[in-house]
Formats: sequence, structure tokens, C-alpha cells
Amino acid sequence: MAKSVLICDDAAFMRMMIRDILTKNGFVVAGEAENGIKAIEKYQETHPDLVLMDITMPEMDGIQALKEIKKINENAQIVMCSAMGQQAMVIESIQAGARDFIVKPFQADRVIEAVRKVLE
Amino acid sequence: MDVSQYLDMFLDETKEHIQNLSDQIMRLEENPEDTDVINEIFRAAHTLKGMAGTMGFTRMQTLTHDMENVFSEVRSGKLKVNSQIIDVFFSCLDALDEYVQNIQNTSSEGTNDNPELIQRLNACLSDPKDAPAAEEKKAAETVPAKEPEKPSAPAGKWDEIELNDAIKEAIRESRADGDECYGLNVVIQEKCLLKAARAFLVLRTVSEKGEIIASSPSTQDIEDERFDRDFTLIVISRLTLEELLKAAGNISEIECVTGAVLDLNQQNKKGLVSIPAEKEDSQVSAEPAAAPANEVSAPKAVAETKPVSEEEKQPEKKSVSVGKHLGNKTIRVDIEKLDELMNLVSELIIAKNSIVSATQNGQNQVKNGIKDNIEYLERVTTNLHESVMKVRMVPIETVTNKFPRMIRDISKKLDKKMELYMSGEDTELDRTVVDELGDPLMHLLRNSADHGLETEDVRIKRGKNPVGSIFLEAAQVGNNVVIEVRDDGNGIDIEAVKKKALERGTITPEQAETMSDKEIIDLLFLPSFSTAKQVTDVSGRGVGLDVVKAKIESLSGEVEVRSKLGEGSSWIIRLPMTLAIIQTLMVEVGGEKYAIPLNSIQSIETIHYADLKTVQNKQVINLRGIVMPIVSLFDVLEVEGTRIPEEEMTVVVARKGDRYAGLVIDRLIGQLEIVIKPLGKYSKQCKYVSGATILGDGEVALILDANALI
Repeated sequence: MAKSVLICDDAAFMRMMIRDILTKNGFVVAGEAENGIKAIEKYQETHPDLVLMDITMPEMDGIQALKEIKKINENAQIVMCSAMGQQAMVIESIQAGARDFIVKPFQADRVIEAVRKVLE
Repeated sequence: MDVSQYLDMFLDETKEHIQNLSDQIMRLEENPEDTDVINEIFRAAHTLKGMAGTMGFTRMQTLTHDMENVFSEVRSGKLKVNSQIIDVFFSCLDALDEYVQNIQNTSSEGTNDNPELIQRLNACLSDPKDAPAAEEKKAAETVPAKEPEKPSAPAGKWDEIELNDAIKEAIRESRADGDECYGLNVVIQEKCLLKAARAFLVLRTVSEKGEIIASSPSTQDIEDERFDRDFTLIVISRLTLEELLKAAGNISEIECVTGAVLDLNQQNKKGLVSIPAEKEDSQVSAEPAAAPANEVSAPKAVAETKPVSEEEKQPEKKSVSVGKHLGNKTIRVDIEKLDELMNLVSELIIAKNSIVSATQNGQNQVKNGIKDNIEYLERVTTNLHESVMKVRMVPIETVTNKFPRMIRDISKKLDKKMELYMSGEDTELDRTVVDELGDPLMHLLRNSADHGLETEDVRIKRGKNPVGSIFLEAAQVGNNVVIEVRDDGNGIDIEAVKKKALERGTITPEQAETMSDKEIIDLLFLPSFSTAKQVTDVSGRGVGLDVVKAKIESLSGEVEVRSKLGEGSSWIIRLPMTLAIIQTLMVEVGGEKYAIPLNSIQSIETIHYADLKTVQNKQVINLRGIVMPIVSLFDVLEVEGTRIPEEEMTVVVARKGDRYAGLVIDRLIGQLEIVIKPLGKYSKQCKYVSGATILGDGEVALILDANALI
């Protein structure tokens, strides 16, 4: 069965792009969330195999959302989406249990590589 | 990766973010300590950077990156917001706007690097006391690019790590327990951007499989990115070397992981040699250690990474292939509106099915069944139509939200204090109308700011609040949207206008005598008529008001001016909510059917011929105190066949602003919702006809432009 991924990013443009990348490579998009709070809600709703989580988001940032999701399911597979200059935050999220991270600007195969590695 | 398909969305969202930035910076200017606002600005800049980078717009990315840097410092409290920062940021927004425009028109961001802006941004950062932090940040981020080429991992590095006796003891003990001790060397891919984070991920993964007892450089240095491209670990684990290498090698962006079972004898030999932190040179001088037979390497798939780096090198080329004009007219639609539409369409299908089944039923029921269902169908189609209209509607906010910034700039430029108050920005209009509305409103606002409002000292002398007020108010009134631009400035000097018109020969002295104030004010809308005493940068070139009027009229709207000298003026724009479908009154004139837009109809009257009076050769009637001309549509439309004046006639009273006219018709048919079809070139010759429509029976009816008739 195709693996499902929850996409969390505050930019609709980014979400659409990631969605296309994932669906073209045979993944199912479980849902999209534009902030951390929505991400948690959607996680509980859809139980995705993996979450792609942007760090900078309004309402609740990705690190906080990651921690909350880990509380719900400590085996949750979460890959962070970061940008240059967020090293410390990426490290914090790895400490909190993120499985991998990708750095914007994205390359499609980097996204797929990260997702595959975590799910396989 | 072909990103052209995302361009529309990218443009849409980028514009939103730029707008948001502009709003937030305005707020910040008023309240420089507001952390929410600072965070929001930082986030918006950050998001923009990510989006621009993904699309390969490197210049835009660089600029937003530097903006983000400045706000990162502000956020951490190292930098205080001052007017310099605000100004730089506004200039940056203009530059971003320019990039967006370029992208929209040519699908390339252009070649303007804006070095001056970047310099100014960096100048914000290099305030003496903040300099080190900023420098460090910059340096840290530019390192990956300068990385020297280092093709393969030097083997045996783990042997160079100095182990103290306690650790060696621990290794021996764990070996006795059945664990093994390995040396690992991890090389991170050159293109990896966050090396420390990547390395941290490796550390974490490895420590899940075993215990890291030593590393070079130290784990703290690794976390702080104080290493080049590789680092070395000594790990005690129960796993086999293959398993361990696989676990570490399976992490993304790792070039290769090499490892071997640690040989304490090798260690002993070199154990006393002190090894500097950067030990590349010592590796060369060290005795070439024979590679252990059980050394395994886990190289990354080279083929997989190659296309990426190629693409990375040509970010600009990607987008060139995109089509020429990219500013597609798209609307972002609230999902609820679409749901409603979907719902209605499904109801429509149900209704259709009911009719089908009704016709298949027994004879008697057919008539009733069809009648019921036709009513149902009608209800659904009406709702459906409304919903579709709603989908086309966008709030005028999309054009008004840039005005606060504009007024701020004008205020600075003219050195006049003024405040813009906006209300009803959520009023919705057809997208086509909203798109066209920006320029006229901007003209009016500039006009108010420049000519309307007095200078501060004049205002104080007149006993007014030294800060001028400009109001932009929008509201829906019936099927119209009324937008008012009002100021509490000087108002229109009618005598000055008259004088100017006389000077220019626009009117003759005789005309000037008889003209009403209103007619004089209307002169302002004539092309190239400016009363500004001096032409300023902001407005007053004499282009403007005529353009405003032309534009609004092309949208089937009208502009009205009310002004009181010394107290201010107000410009009122009335627009139909939509251009595509309107409510009309169908009338018959000389056997032909005409549609009169309902929004211009005030009332329908029956008038006795005897009540008509003739004033200045025009037939007028006094209707409840309002004197209005009577226009015979037979004459105006040159309908064949003359009409014999009867005792009574039906008159449609049309209204334009505060002027009225009675349109004489033959017969009323009724109210009808029609779809406007433009007549193209044909209608140009007849200014009273604004379009045509196709009636239910296929007949074509012309739509009368009541405004032109008054």
C-alpha cells in the first residue's frame, strides 16, 4: 500500500509543490496543514506514515508541533523542512525526535530521498 | 525540476507575503517594540526566501535572505528597530515588487542585484556592537560554497584519536562482554547545507545503535559546525560493522561512511602522538597504516546525486522556458463557495432526474409533476447563478491594502501629516471590476493628500487638527458598491476652477455666468485640467481626474463630487456589483424590447400628459417636488412609427446621482435578470445602448444605458 505523508508548511505554494513531488513518486498525501496546530489536528485525524514539517510556521512552529506529535505517538516519523540559518533549530528538532531534515530550496529528489529513507 | 507550473501560485502567494510585510512594517513603524509584528516580518521574509529559492530566483532569494538576517537580529533583541531599518525595508519591498513584476512579465527576475539595498541591509547589521554576531552568521552560511574539494574519506582516521587509559579499559571490558569497538569516519556530501545538523543526525543514529565513546572533533565542536566535511567516531556496539555502517550510511546527504574494528595496538603506537584538532597534515606524515581487511565502505549512489548538482548550477535557465505572459487571471476561491456550488449542481441534477421520471409516469400526474419540478429547477438555477457570481467576487481589499503604505510615502514626501482611515475593505466586487479599480482610487487618494489637505500650519491656523484625515469607505448599497474617498482638507475652490476654465478657454464668460457649482466641479473631469498651483511629484499633472472618470464609466459606474470650501471634499464612486449579469426592467418601445438596468431606476410612474410643462424648450415634469426632464425614447432611439400623445403615459424614472429623468415607454414587460453580451464595435455608434442580451425565447434585446440618457 502506498505510504501516506502529511505536509505542513505555511506557504500554499510549497505545499502544492511537495504534494506534486510526492504524488509523482507514488506517495499518498494524507493532508496538508498550514500551521503547527493544524498539523497536530491533521496528524490525529489521518495517522500518516510520515510528516513533512516546516520549522517556521505561524500559530505554532514546527518544533513545537513535532514535540506534541511525539507525545501522541512516540514512533511518529517526522522529517523537518528547514532553511539555511536554522541549524540550531534543526538540531533541536532532531533531539526531539525528527528523523531527517531537508533544506529549502528543495530539490525533488532530495525530498523523495528523505521520505524513502525514513519509510523504508 | 520543472517549476514553471508553480509560477502562478508562486506569484500569488509572493504578492500576498509582500503585502503582509508592508502592512506589518507599517505597524512596526508605529510600534517598534511589538514582538508579534517582528516575528511576523521575520517569518514572511523567511517564507519568501524559501519560495524564491525553490523557484530559482536567486536575486530575490539573496535579498530576502538579508532582510531575514536583519530581522533575526531584531528578534533576538540585538538590534533596535529605527527609522533607517524601516526605510530600508520599504525600499526592499519595492525591489521585491520589481522582481515580481519582472517574473510576471518575462518569467525571469531580471538582472538587478540591488547591491545598494543589500549594502544598506548589511549596514543595519554592522552597527559596531552587533557586528561580530552578524559576521559570524554570514560566515557560517557561506562556508558550504567555499568548501574545498576533498574526494574521499581518509581511511584509518580513527586510529589518530587519542584514547586515555580509562577508555581503553572500557573498550577491553566491552569486548569481553561480546560488544565490539569500531572506528567510523563519516564524510558529509559537499552540497549539504546544514552540516552540523546532518552530523548531529548521524551522532544520534549511531548512539541509538551503540555508544560513542570518543570523537574527533569533539561532539560539541561537531554540533557547532567546527569541522570540515568529515568527522570520526569511536563506537562500542553489539552490531556488526556492516550493520553499523549501513545505519549511518542510510542517512541522507552522507557521502560515505568508512569504518573498521578498532585495533588497540595501532592505537598504542600512535597513542602518544598529540594530534591537533585539524589534523589533515598529520595524516600525511603518519606512517601509512595498512588498510584493515575488514574495512567496508558505504558509498552513496553517485548517479543519484549527479542530476541534482547539475540543476543547481543552472537555476536561472529552468524558468526561461516558461511562456511569455504569466499574469493569468486567476481567482482564489473560498472553499465554502465552491462547496455551495457543488451542492447546487447536484440539486440541479436531482431536479432534472425528477422531470425525466415525471414524464415517464402516468398521464395524469405528468402535468403536476412537471410544474412542481420546474419550480424547483428554477429555484436551483437562481441559487446556482448567485453562487457563481459570488465565486467571481473578491473583496476590494486586494487593491486597497496597498494604500496605507502609499499614504505614508506621500506624507513623508510632502511633509504633511495625514492619516488614512479605511472601512468596508471586505466589500466584494466582481474580480474584473476590482482589478481596474486600483488606479482610479489611487488617483483620488493622491489628489486628496496633495491638493485636498492643507499644510500643517494652514490647518492649525484654521483651527483644524494638524493631522489631516483621508477616509476610504466602501459599502454595498443594493446592487451597487459605493466607494467614497473623503478628506477634511480645503475642498474645491469653485472660483479658482472657474477662473482657470476661463483662462484656458474651456468655457466662455457667458457660460461661466449660468453654470451651477456642480457643473463647474464637473469641469475638473475634463482632460488636462489641473488647478494645482504647482505640479508636484505626487499629482497635479492634469492627468488623473479625466482618467478616473473614464475608467469608472468603462466599468459602468459613475463618479460624483461633493465639496465644501474649507471643509473638505468627497469623491463618490458607484459601481455595479458585477458586470456580467444584471437585473433589468424589460420595457417595450415601439414594438421593440429594451432592458433598462434596475440599479439606475428610481421608480415607475403614470403621468398625465397635462402635467407636462415646457421649460427652455424641454418637456419637464414636477414629480413630488423634483423637476425632471421627460425623454421620449421614441425620438432618442429613432424607433419607427410615431406615437400619438395619449392622456396617460408610462414613465420610467431613471436616476444618476442626484439627477433624474423620466423615460417615456410604451409598455412595461417586467423584471428580468439578464446576461450582458457586449456589442463590440457596433454599439459605439449608439451611445445609449450599452450592450445586448438574449432573451429566453432567443430574441435579442438591447440594454439601454440610462446614465447616457440623463
